[in-house]
Order: sequence, then structure tokens, then C-alpha cells
Amino acid sequence: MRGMAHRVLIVDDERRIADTSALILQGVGFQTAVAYDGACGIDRCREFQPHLVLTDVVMPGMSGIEMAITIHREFPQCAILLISGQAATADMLEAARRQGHSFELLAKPVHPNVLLQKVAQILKASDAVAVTK
Amino acid sequence: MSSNVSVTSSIINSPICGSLEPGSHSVQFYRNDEFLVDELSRLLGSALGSGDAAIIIATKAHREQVGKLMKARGLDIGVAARQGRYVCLDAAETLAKIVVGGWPDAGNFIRVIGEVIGGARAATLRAEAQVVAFGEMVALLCAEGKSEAAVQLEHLWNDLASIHSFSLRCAYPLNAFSRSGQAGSFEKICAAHSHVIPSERFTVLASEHERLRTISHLEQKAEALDAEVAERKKVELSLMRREAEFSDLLENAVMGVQQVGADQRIVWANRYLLALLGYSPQEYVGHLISEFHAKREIFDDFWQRLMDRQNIYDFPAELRCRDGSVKHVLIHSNGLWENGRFVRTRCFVRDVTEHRQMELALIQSEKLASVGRLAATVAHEINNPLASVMNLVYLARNEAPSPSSQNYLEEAQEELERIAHLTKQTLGFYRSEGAVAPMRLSSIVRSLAAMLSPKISNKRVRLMIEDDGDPEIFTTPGEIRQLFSNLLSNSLDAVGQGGTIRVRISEVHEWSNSGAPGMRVTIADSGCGIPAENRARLFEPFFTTKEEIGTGLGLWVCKRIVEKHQGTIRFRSDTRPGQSWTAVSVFLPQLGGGTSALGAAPLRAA
Repeated sequence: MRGMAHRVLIVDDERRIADTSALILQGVGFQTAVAYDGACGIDRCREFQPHLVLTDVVMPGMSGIEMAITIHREFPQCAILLISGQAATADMLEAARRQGHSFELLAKPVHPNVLLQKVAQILKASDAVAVTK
Repeated sequence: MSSNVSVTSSIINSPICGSLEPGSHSVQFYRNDEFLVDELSRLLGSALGSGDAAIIIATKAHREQVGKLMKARGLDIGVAARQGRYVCLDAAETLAKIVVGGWPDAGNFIRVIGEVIGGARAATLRAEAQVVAFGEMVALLCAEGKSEAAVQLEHLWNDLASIHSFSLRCAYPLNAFSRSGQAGSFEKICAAHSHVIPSERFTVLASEHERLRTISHLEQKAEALDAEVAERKKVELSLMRREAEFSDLLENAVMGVQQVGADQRIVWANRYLLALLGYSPQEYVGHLISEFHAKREIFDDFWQRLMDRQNIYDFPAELRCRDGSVKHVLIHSNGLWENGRFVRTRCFVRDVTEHRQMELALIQSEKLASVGRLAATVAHEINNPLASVMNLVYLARNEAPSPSSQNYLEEAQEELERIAHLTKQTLGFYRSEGAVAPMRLSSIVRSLAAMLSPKISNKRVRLMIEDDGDPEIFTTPGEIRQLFSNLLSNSLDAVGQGGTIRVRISEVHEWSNSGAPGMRVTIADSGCGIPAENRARLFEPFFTTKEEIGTGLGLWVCKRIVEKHQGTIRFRSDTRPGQSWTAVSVFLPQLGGGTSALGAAPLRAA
């Protein structure tokens, strides 16, 4: 995995969460980029071309789900993992599902070990998909 | 009968009744004792004066007045009495010798009265002498309301006439027959006599002309009276009917109705009110109304308003029932005043106990809901800083500073996990697994049992899981896992070393839920049971008996999950030492197709 370091974009309006999550992922060899709101997230995604976007859901301005839908349309191969601490998320997810976008969600707070495990699992699956393609 | 008779010299003239035909049995009606005494003194006096015998069986007053008057007229009744021609007997005493069991006895009568008549006749020393008798034993019987006995006594007098020859005068005060219902006995008494003499009002009339005129007046009066009586009876009957109708209406009102007198005593209460409070009429009516008010100061205020002549509407009060419970009521009331004097209240009492209980329950559940909302909000707000700190601690540990700060960070990490556990217990079920999916409950329960196995084996608890038919059910697996995780953990906490937990999963119809098909999961443990005082509070947020390890949110969350699934959750428990147990039973209806029903109603914070 180190040879072909995966790129992970982290989007969270809580800067400290975004920055520390990036550091944790870097610690195990991922290339990371951060953004602090949805619009910037989309911009960074275009530049950075991540394999995976980790995003908070409830953010001022564009929500994580709106952003995820846009990214999903533009970069269908990019995996997306939502992380949320809010109950309202269930409604938003359901709305996205009705539009044909199904996203995985983790509840905050996520222990770094769990996060690393989940990220590795998602990237392994998307690699497998990429290989079969 | 008055015993104070004043005899005056203005004696009423009685032209037709002063004498008796031999062998006659006449009856004299009278209004004034004065008239009767005068009449008798003439009757008996003329008999004695002509050498005949006279017998008077009368009250003491009448005997004395008659004797006095005869003496005043110059008759030496002392001599006549000594000769035995004038016999004075007390009516009550003589009657006592004749009556047996309330009725005059023929044998006694013939013996007692026959002797008196025979003796008086013999005393005249003349074979052709007349015996004139006056008796008012019949009047005494009549005054006692025994008019039938009086009639019977009259007949005994008539029968005696076949053995002894005498003339008899009876007398009745007219007021003994002043009721229309006595017309029958009046008629019978008249029929028992050969002559009937009206009262002094008519016997004093001098001429035939006057008498005819009076009779015509009387006829008119009787006619008018008859008509009036008939009219009154009609009115009375219709009043009685109205009264019966009103009383029926009040008795059957589905509202308490009562009257309370000026002395604060209950005058009348309808059936509804008695049934509401559980008293018999004897236990309620006649008692002080304040005895039944649970709060004295409220009653005093109520009564003061009545005395201030207020019309009271919807006055809230509490009434004490026979069984000690209290009914919450609203009272409408006002006073009935006559000539400025308070007579009584009319009270209309409405039972609002159930309504009030519902109101209290609503307030309580509102309170709990807002507490729950607050808890959820706080938990959410904690999540972000928690996530940051967890990340920071993780990074610090990876920097590998001194061994002691490694320890501190490790401890900090553990504390953080405790906070994370707390927020997840309330909010954990809002997780990504929120989607509805077909699931077998037994597989959820078995996977939970596996997860809890360290604790189970540590406490040497026997856990049995039984299922009879376990079809797939549409649920949100994350929430259902949380539900049974909380319930199983509670059971594990409750049982002692070597205790038993039995889980039974069955396909049922919930009859209390309009027969809906679904699944029932019962978790029974041999734990210490739930004390009665805690049962009502089981589902309150932050209510816990496990102060060290409990959050007080587990069952609160369970209830919300079950409610979201339109199911029911029930506890049964027994705390008797040695045989204590608790069984919690969860019913989850099979929601046809499931997805829409649950998917459209994502669980909210409260």
C-alpha cells in the first residue's frame, strides 16, 4: 500500500477534527488534503483527485451530503464516507438514497483505530472494483 | 276535646233536641263543648226531674260541667245519685273494661253496661220509668283513629236495646270528621243511629223557613267544595307526577346534584353523586358537607362565596370517597335565598378526576420529553469536541514522549471512551445502520449473547435462548440491537452469581394491539426484581438504581425504540426474597413491507 499511497480528502468545519484526522491518516502513510466547508471540499477534490473523501455531514453552507452527491456525480470512482454526530443525518441520508446515492455513515466520535480500519476496508473494496474494471 | 268549659248563663236554646224518644239511639254532633254540656244538662236533667234514670258515660270535664249546670238549674243531683237514678261513669275507664285487643268485646259490653242500665232502672222504683243514657266512649275511639271500633261499639249499643229498654244519646265533636277521607266512617256512624242531630249551628234555627234557606246554602257550599276538592286533587296529582318526573330526572343525571342547608348539612344528593363517592344515603345525607371536602380551606372559600351571593361556576374542589381516595370535581353552585335569609344551595358536581390525571400525565411526559431532548442535544454537542480530543490523544501517544505521560494519555483515552459510551448509549442507534432491513430477531439476540459472553461466563449465568418460529421481520437492525443489548445488560446486572436468564422469541398476535401479527421477545431473569416504588419510573431518563455504572438512559432509549416500531414493552416482576424475578416482554409488530413505515419516521432526539 505504501508504494501506491492512497489520497484521502478530509472535510469538516471543525478544523481541529479535520487537521488531526489528516495527521492520523498521514501517520499510517496516506496522502491527505483538508477542506473546512463543502464548496472548498469540491474544489480540493478536483485538484487532489482523492481515492476517498471523509466528510462531516452537518456543516454551514453546503452539507456533507450535498457535497458528496456532487462529488459522486463528477468522480464516480471516488469512495465517500460520512461521519456525523447529528440525528438529522438520518433524514438527509434517506433523501440522498431516494436520489439513488447511497453513502456509508459512521457516528461521531470515531476512535482513530476504528477510523483507520474502516478507511483501509473501503479502499481495499474500491481497489478490487477498480481491478475488475 | 277541651276540658276547660266555661258555662255561662246565655244557654243556647235547643227546641228540637232537648228530649229523647223512648228507645231511640241518637247521635249529636257539636262544635263547642259549651253547647254539648248545655244540651246534656237539659236532656239528663229533664229525665231526672220526671223521676226517670240518667246515665252519663263521659270525660271527667263533661261530667263535672253537666253536673254543675244541672245543680245551677236547681236539680238536686246528689239525691238522685244516692238513689242510684243518676249514674256517672268515666268514659275511658269504662271503655277499658269493654275493649279486648283494641276492639269492643260484646260479652264485656253486655255485662258492664247491662248491669248499669238494669241498676239505674231498678233505682227508679217504677216499672214504666225511662232510662236515658249519654255516652262518648265512641268519640274516644274515634279520636284515637279507631273509627271502625267506634262503629262496632255503636252496634253493640243497638244490640243491647233488645235486652234492655233505654234511650241513648251519643256525641261526636264535628272536628273528628274534618277530613274528606272520613266521609265513609261518618256515614257508617250516622247509619248506626236512629236519629242524627246536626251541630248547634243548625239546631238553633227557629223556623222551617230558616232551615230550608240554610239547607240551600249548605247544598251550594257542598257543591262548590266538591268541585274544589276534585280540582285540587287533579292539581295535586299533576304536581305529584311532575315531582316524580323531576326527581327521576335529577336521580338519573350523569352529574352529581345535591342540596346543602344553611347549617352546612347535606339535605339531598342524587344517585350519581352517591355512586361517585361510594356512600350510602345514610352515610352522606344529613352529614356536614365539610366532612367530605379533602381541603378545608377550599371548602371555606367556596362557602364564603355562596354567602356573598355569588354564582359559582367550575369551582375546583376535591371530595373524599368512602374508600379514602379523592375525586377531583368542578362545582357549579348558588344559594337559594328567601326574605334575605339563606335557605340552601343547589350544587352541580362534575367529576374531572380522569381528565386531571391525564393532564398530570401529560405534564409529566412533556417534562420527560424535554429532559430527553436536552440530553440528546448535549450529547450531540459533546461529540465534536470529543472527536477532536480523541484524535489529539491518539496523536500524542504516537509521539511517544516519556513513559509517565504515556500513562496519563492512556488514562485520558480510557476516560474519553467512557464519555463516548455515554453519548452512544443515547444516540448510538442513529447510526449508519438506520436503514430498514429484514432481520431475524434470534440472530440479533444470539450475536449479542456472544458479545456479552465474557460477562456471562464471569458471573456463571445460565443463558437460554428459545425460539419457536422466527420469521424475518422488517426492522432497523442497529436500533433493535441497541434495544436488546440494553435489556440483556440489565438482566445480567440484576442476576447474581449462577443466576438464570431465559430469552424466548415467538411469533404472536398482539391482541391489545388490534390483533396485529408480529414478534414477541421475553427476557426473564432470576434477579432481585423491581421494587414497586421504582416501577412507575422505569422509563424516565436519568432514573437509575445502578449509581456507579448506570446512566439512567438505557430503558428510556429502549422505550423510544419500541415506540418507533409501534410496539409495546412491558415489565412484570416479583421481589419476594428467594423467588424474585423480572420479565420484560417486547412486542414488535410485523410492519407490512416495513420499509416505508419505518423509513419515513427516522428516530429523532426526543
